[in-house]
Amino acid sequence: MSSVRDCLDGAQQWLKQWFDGWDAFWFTPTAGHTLAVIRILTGLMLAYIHLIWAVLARDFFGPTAWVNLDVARELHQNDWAWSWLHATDSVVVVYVHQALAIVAGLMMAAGWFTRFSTIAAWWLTLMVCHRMTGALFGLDQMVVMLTMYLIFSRCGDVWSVDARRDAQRSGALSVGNNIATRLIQIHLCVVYLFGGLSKMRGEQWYDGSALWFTTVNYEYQSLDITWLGYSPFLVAALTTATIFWETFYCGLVWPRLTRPLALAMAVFVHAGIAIALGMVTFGFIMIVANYAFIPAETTHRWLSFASKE
Amino acid sequence: MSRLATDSPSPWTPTKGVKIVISVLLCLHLLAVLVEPLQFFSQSPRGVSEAVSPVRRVMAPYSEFAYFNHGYFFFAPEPGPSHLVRADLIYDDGGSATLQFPDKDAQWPRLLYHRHFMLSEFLHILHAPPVDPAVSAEDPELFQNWRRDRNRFLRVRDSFAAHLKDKHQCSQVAITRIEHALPRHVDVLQRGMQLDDPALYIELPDGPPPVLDEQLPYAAGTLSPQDAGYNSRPMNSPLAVPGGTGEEIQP
Repeated sequence: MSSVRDCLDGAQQWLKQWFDGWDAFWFTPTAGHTLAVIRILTGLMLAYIHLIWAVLARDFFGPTAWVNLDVARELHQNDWAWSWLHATDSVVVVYVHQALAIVAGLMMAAGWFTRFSTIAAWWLTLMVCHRMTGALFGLDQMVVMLTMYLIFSRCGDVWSVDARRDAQRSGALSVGNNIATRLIQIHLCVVYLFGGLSKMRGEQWYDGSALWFTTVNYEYQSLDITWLGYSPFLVAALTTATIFWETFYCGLVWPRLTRPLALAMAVFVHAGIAIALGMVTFGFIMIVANYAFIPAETTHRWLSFASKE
Repeated sequence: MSRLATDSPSPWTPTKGVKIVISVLLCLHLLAVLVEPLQFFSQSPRGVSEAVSPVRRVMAPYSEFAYFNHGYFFFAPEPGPSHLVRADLIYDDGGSATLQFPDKDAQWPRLLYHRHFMLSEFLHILHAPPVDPAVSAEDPELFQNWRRDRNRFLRVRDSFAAHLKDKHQCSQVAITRIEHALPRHVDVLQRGMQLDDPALYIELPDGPPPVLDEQLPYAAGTLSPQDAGYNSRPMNSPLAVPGGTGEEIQP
């Protein structure tokens, strides 16, 4: 009998530890400094994305758009990707829409009416994404993800117009900050895990040639690094390091010991993508997303000159 | 996560009941986040894993609307060749012109160029060759899917053509898909081949690829759908799974 009771006590203890861990992981109030950095950079990126869409309004949204309105509706007739931009191909409406989106992005970056501007920036971007099927890529996926999670935080309490107007709010701890940070972190782990697993379906990531074939892709290339090919060992080593890092990022990024290595590799890979493969926006936003793993107190320390101001 | 000591008032702490509700919502959300790439990952020529499909179906309204329906197959399974679009324009006065996109020189800044690049890749991913009528008797379901995919490709291709026709005020536009092959190590570093060497640009046929002598016919007088360049569930194609939009393989 006593052994059964011991087992039950052990299980109860284990469950309690598990629930305490869950509680600490999600519901520990934290400051918003790290999220404020992500808010500022994502807001500016959103403004830039919508500015480019505004430039492309006639070609991508107009009556004779690349993917015209009827075709766009057909592509989404069996899914839930609803957009109010499926209702019109008026270029004037799109210009107004994009002007509002740019303003929302800039307000979000400035932290001005942050709650409202973050929701507005997320919604307006989502509407564009559902209309622009075929012209989107990883950048759009990441900015929508980051903006959505920022909605649940108090990222406007730090380094913002809102904080200047209400000094009481500045630096306040919040459970919402922690939940938003955790969601960004976990989502990023999912992105990398499947980025790594999907590469295992190919052969070039195994035989070490994938990096070569990436560098010689003329349509992506913005910096000629084909000289890397003079060292097949280096090309293969970087290829192998990339697939290992990507697949195991979800495990390596949590322990204090390996986190700096996982994040340093993220900066290296994404800076490489930005500089050599011409995807400055995508590389930049991935580094911004990785910044979610920097603790708020570290951000505060690094940028303390800004907070003193 | 770290905390910062501040003089601000104590933060709001949710009650136990609120924490339970939030926890359930978080679990559902994370399930939606996880099941989308899992769907792409768990597909094979026979279909998608039965363990994933039902969960994905339930989560679809949320994940599709929130724009989480991605595979994150960045440069995977291989960093394959790029796909471009060539447009041959014919004007009312008999003149002609040829355009090709994406075009680094004509499209700037880089994000603007990349939008056009994604469009050309999108058209390539959508491509389904002309439907072989003989398949209708052999496999009516396959026939229907093939015809649906072919019509989708044609609709997008014709939309591209209509756009160019309007923009360049021409009378006819012919769209051709171009594959830009990736040169080997030895070609570039030893033979000095340029990355934009004309030999690397391959015109992709709209119809079936050339049939080799040793290939066996699918049925009397017909080719298999795969031989005809059509696969209703192509491996690693984002369009092979519900909710796939074709952007999941591009970083």
